[in-house]
Amino acid sequence: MNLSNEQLLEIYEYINYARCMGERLEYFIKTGKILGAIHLPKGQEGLQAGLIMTLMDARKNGIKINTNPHTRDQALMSKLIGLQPYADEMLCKTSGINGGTSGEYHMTCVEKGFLPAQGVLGPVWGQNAGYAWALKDQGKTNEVVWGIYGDGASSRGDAWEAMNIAALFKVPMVFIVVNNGWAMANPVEKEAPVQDLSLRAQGSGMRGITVDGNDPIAVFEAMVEANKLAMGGEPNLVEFKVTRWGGHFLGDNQEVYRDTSFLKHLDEIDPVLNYHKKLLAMGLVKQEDLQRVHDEQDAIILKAYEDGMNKPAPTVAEICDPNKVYGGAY
Amino acid sequence: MTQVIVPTLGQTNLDVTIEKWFKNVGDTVKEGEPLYELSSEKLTQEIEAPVSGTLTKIYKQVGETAANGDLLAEIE
Repeated sequence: MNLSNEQLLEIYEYINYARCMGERLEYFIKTGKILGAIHLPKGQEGLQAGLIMTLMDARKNGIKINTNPHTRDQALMSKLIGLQPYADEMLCKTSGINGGTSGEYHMTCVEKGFLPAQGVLGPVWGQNAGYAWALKDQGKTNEVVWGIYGDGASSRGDAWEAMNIAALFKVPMVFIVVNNGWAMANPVEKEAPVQDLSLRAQGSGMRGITVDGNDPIAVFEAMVEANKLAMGGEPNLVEFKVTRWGGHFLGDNQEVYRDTSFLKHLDEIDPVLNYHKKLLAMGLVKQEDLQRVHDEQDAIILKAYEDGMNKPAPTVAEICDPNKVYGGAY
Repeated sequence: MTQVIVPTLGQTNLDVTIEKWFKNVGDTVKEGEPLYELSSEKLTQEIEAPVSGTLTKIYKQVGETAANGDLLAEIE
């Protein structure tokens, strides 16, 4: 696939957006504005940019993406439902997408393609497959489901059951495994007997491929093809290999279980910097554009959080209303 | 004046212990530079100064415990 210069620059915007989203989340958690247990996306911006690009491209082509973004997909979440309703929800405000009651992981907006997720990670693939099955049953041929989970979740029994059902009934679903090498504090080699988790698709007769998740162009190309296959009755799995820079969550002291010497050489593996260098070599951007675009995206995100800050918080009665917790999804 | 409050980091609301202050009262602090370190049963985290200014008050000393949302310090 040959991407146009406009598309390459659009991805440049998204990759910077993803970086700024992580930086601002960290800032607002540390200043006590956002409640914690947040899993920061730092290091995984290449994947975010590629997924956002696929989402936007799909929307232009009249395709609806239904997904429940995983823990480090905050940039994708906000692009899926809109930045302001996202930021307001993170700040626990009534103007949030679920009235300030859902927290990050349980955000839901079926209308915009944000599917509900229960608390345990792996089983949601089964719910995703069921949703995709319903789409097929209802003849909704312009929709696809992305089940996004990590390497750890893909090792759960429920994940295999979901892949089997999806393949058996040829539902429009793409299984996305974000392999960052760590299931919380557990390294992937201690949880899986294979290096490439895409091999797991073979057990259900599905196609499985492994892609460099640091390269947003590779992510976009892989996802466009994966969507096409899935919507044509071939559910499939895409594994993206990425690096998790920080602990499992902000505050997790990863030093006690992980060799973090790679953090001294981040410039070599930084997906934002590497993408910048690629466009620089193509003459599409100038050196100073990196800071400029970063600051532009940061200003957009900062404004959304600042605008959200003084809005009203829900009452106890509103928080306890189960219909609001799930945004009317059920 | 900006209040420095104890953030909620983990999945449980455990009290945190102040491990270290990188600055003393009266010191000039710059936004983004390490201000203090906190820990609890399952976490350790360095926290940066939220704004630039002068650290005018420290309410919790090293070794003291604090709950999420507690006032830790003030920067003017």
